[in-house]
Amino acid sequence: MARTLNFMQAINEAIAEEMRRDPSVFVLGEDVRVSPFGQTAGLVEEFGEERILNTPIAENAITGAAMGAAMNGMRPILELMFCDFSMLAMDQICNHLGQWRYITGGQYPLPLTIRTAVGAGMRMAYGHSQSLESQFIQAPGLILVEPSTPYDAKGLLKSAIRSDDPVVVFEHKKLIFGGVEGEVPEEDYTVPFGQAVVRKQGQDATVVAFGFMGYEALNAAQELAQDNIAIEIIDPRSIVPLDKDTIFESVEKTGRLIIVEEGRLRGGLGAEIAALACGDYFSLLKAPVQRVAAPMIPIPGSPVLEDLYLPNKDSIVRAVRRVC
Amino acid sequence: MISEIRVPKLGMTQADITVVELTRANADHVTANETVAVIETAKVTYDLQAPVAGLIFYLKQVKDKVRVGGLLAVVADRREAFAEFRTGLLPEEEAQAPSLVQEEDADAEWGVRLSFDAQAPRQPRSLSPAPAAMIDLRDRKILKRIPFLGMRRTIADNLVASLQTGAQLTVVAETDMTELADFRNELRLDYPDTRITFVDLLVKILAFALKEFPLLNSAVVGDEIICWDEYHLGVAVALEGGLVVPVVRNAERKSLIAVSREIKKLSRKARQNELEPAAYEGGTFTLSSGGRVETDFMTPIINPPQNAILGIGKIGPKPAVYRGQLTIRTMAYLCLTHDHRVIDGVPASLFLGRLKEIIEQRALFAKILR
Amino acid sequence: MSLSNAKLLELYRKMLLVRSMEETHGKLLQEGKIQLMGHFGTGQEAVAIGVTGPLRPEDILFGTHRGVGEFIGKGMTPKDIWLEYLGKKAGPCRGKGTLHLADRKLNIPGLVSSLGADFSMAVGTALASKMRRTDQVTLYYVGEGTCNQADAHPSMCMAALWKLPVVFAVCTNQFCELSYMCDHYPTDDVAPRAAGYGIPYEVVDGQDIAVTYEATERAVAHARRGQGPFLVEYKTFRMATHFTGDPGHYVNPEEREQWAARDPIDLCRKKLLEAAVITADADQKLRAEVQAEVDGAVREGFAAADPTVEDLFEDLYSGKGVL
Repeated sequence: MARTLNFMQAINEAIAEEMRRDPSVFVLGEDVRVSPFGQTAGLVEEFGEERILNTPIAENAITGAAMGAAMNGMRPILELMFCDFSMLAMDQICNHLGQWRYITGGQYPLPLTIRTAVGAGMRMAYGHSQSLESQFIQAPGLILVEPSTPYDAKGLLKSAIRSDDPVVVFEHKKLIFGGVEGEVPEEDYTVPFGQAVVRKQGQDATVVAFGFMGYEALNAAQELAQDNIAIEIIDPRSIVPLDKDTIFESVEKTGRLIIVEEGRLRGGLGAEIAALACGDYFSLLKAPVQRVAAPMIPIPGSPVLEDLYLPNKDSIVRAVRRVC
Repeated sequence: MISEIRVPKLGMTQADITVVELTRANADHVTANETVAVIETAKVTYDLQAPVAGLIFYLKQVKDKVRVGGLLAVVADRREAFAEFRTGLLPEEEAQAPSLVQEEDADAEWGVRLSFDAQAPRQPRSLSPAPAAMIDLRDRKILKRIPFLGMRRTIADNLVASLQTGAQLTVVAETDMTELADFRNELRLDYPDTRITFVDLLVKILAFALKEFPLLNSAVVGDEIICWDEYHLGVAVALEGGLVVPVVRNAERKSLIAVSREIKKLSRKARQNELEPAAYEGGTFTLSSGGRVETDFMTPIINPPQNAILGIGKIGPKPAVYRGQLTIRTMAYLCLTHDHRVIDGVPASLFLGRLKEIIEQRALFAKILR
Repeated sequence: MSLSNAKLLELYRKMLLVRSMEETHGKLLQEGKIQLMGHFGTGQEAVAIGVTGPLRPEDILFGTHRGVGEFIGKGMTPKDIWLEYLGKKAGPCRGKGTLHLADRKLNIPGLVSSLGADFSMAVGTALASKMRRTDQVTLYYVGEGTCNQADAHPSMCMAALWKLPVVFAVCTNQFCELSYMCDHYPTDDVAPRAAGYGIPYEVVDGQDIAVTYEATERAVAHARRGQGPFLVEYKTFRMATHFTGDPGHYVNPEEREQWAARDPIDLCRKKLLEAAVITADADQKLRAEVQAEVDGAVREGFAAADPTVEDLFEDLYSGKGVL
C-alpha cells in the first residue's frame, strides 16, 4: 500500500528503516540531531546520540572520519549540509573516497553515503545555493544520484546505504523545503542505480532534465504542447552511472536532444551527455544538441538577479524551439 | 457488472497466443492492475492485468490457444453478475466457463453460498500439426515432461515452415579473426564501460557488406523479391525457453559503440522478458553466433521472410597458414545459409568472400568499425 | 621494563630488515632497474619499529610515505612489499597502490597521497572500533611536517571529544620536506598541541628502541583501556633526504654527524652485545640472513606476473568494470 509522503519525510524514513535493519548504519554530520533542514530530525530519539552523531564544523575531517568508519565495518551516512560546503571536503571525496577501493586492489571498499543539498531560489545567495554536481563527475569510483520525487528519494537513498560503493546523494532544497509530495509504498523497496525514468512521452524532442529541473521541463512541455510540440522528458535519477540506453533510445525516436541542469554550463552534466551524443550517437541526431544550464557567474543575491540566473521553463522552451 | 479481459494484439504476425499461467483461482478477489494471467506468443510472454478490482472468472485454461481479441477472463463485481453473464455465452464458450453450483453450507445462517467447480473435466485441446508419434508411455521411465507449447512450439513451427518454403543451402568459409580480435582488445581501452563483442563487430561489418549485395538483404513478398534499403540486423539471443532474435535497426548508420550498447540492452531486456513484440520485427538479415559453445560450424536456418542468415562458430586458436607459414591464428567458420530460390551459389559465395576479406584486413574493417 | 631480551632481538632484526629494504630500494634506483621514487626513513628505524611493536594484529595502523619501517613493524613481509612496489598482480593491492601500501589481513587500510588526509580516517576507524565495542586501537603514525595540515586539529578534537581509542604517534625527524622543522614551527615540539584538546602526551627519545617501544606501549594501553587518545612525540633525525634525488644541501653536516653517532641500530646492537644476547658473529650472520631475505623478495618480485588489461578496469566498484 502506498501513502503520500513529502520529500523530506521520504529521506527521513529511508534512514530510519535502514538504521533499524542494519546496526552498522549511523548518521554523522553537523547538527544532525536538530537537523536544520529536517531530513534527520527526530532520529536521535529512536537511535540515540551515538548513532546520530553531531560533529565539529570541519567538512574535510568529518568526511575522513566517515571514511575511516567505513574502512572498519560501519556504513556511515554523512551529511554535508550545503553542497557548497562539500567543496571543503573535496580532498577526501575526489582524491581518496572514490579511489580507495581501486588503489587498495579491492581490499577496502568504502560503503559511505554522503547526502548534500543543492539548489538555488531560496534567496541564500552565492555560497549556499550552488548545484555543483558536475564537480564530482571527474572523480572516479563514486556513484552520484539526484532524486526528484519522494519515491526516488527513499528508494535511491536505500540503495546508497546498502551499496558497498561510495554514493553521493544530491537533495534539492526546493524539494526539501517545498514539500513536494508523492506516493511512497509502505513495503521495503529500492530504486536501482543507473535507471532513468521517462516522466513524459513525446515524439519531437528528448529533454533530459536532472533533479528539480524535471518540474521546469514538465511546465515547458505544457507550453510547447500549445504549438503541437511534444517533448519526451527523461529524469536520469543517476548521474553516475548514467542510463545511456533510455536516453538514446528516446533520441533515436525524436532525433533531438536538450539537456537541462541547474548547475553551470561549462563542463557540466550537459556537456558530458552532449559529448556522448556527438561521439557515440551522432547518426541519431537531426538537430544540434542544446544545453540549458546556469551561466558562468556566481549566484547573485538580489532576488531579481537570482531568478534571471536560474534555468527555468522559459529557457527550456527557448532551447526546444531552437531545434523543433 | 462485468469487465472483460481479452487477448491484446502483441505484434504484427502472430495469430494465436497460448495461455501459460492463470495466477488466480476462479472467483478470487483481484485488485485493479493485478496480473491475472500470463500468455505467450512466439516471441514473448506477457502479463495480463485485471482492468478493475473484483472477482476473476477464467474462460480459458492453461495451454489453451486463444485468438487475438479472444476473451480470456472476466472480472465481475458480484458472483451473480458472472452467473448472468454466463448464460449469454455461446454453448462452446459456456462449456469452458466455470460453472456455479450451489453448495450446502453447514451454517444455515449464511444461506446458500455460491461456489463453482474449477476443475470441470475437459478435453485436451488439439494443437497445430501434432507430429508426435503415438508412443505407449506405460512402463517407460520418464525423467521429465516438457510442454511442447507456446514459444517452444512456435519456434518449432517457424523452423519447419522455413525449411519447407525455401531451398536452403549453407556455404562455409574459414576466416582468420586474429586482426579483428586484436582490434577488439584495443577497444577495451577506448570504451571501458562497454565491452565490445564479436557480434557487435560483425553486425557493423554485415550492415556495410549487405549494401554491396542487395539480394542478401531481401525478402520474398508475393511474386516479388524486395531488396531493402534498410539494414535491420537480427541478433540471435539464447533464452532458457528458446532462441529469440531482437533487431538492431539501421545498424549501418549507428556507431559501433551505439550498436554494442543496443545489443546489450536488447539481450538484457529479452532475458527479462521486457521487449515489446515490435523489437523482434522488421529484420532484414540475421546473425547467429555460437556464443561460448564448442561448435565449430553450423547450418543456421533462415528467419522468414529473410533470404539469408550468417552463423559464426567458435572463435579460437587453430593451426593456419598465414603468409606462407604454418602458425597459430584465431580462426572461425562463417556459415552463410541462403535461399537458393533467390540467391545463387555464386553471389552467396562472393558475399561470404567479401565478409572474409573485410574481417581479415584491418585496413578494410577499421573504416567500418567506428 | 617490559622489553625482554628476546623481544629486543626481534625488534633489532626488524630494524635491520627495514634498513636493508631501503638500501636495496636505493640501489635498484641507482642501477636504473626501477623508477619508483623512495622517501627513506634511514635513522628513524627505532621509531617506526617501536611504535608498531606493541600493536596487536587486530589493531589498525596508518603509516607514512617515509620508508617501510612501520609496515615491516606491523607484519608486512619484504616479499609482499616488493610485489606491490614493483606493481605486480600478486601484490596486496594488486599492483595498483605501489608506494601506497595497504594490507587488510594486517589491518593496514592504506596510505594517502595528500598527507594528513588520513588524520581523520584514523579517527574514523577508532570511532568504528568504539561503536562496535571492540578493544581495537588505531595507531596514527605521522611526521611533524604533516601535523601542520588543517585536519590535524579537528581530528584531535574529535578523538578527544568522543574519547576514541587512537594513538597519535608523531615522528619528529627535524625536517619537513626540504626545510628544517624550525622553518615550519614556532615551537620545538608538536606534542603540546594535544593539550589544547585535553589529550595527554609525552615527548621521548626516538633513537632508543626500548624507549620508543615502551612509550608506545603506555599510550596504546591508555587508549585500549577506554581512556581516549594519547599523543607521543618521538625525537629523531632523518639521515636520508626527502626523496631519492634530493641532494640535501640544506642539511647541517655537523648536526648530522652528531645524530649518526646515536644510530638506532648501532645503539640496539651495542645493548644486545653487552647483554650477551648475540655475539658479533651471530650479528654478522643475522645481517646476511636479512639481506638474503630482501634479495630473495626482490628476485621473486621481478619474476612475478604483471597485471594485464583485464585488471585495469577492475576493483573500482563492487560490481565489475567501470561506470
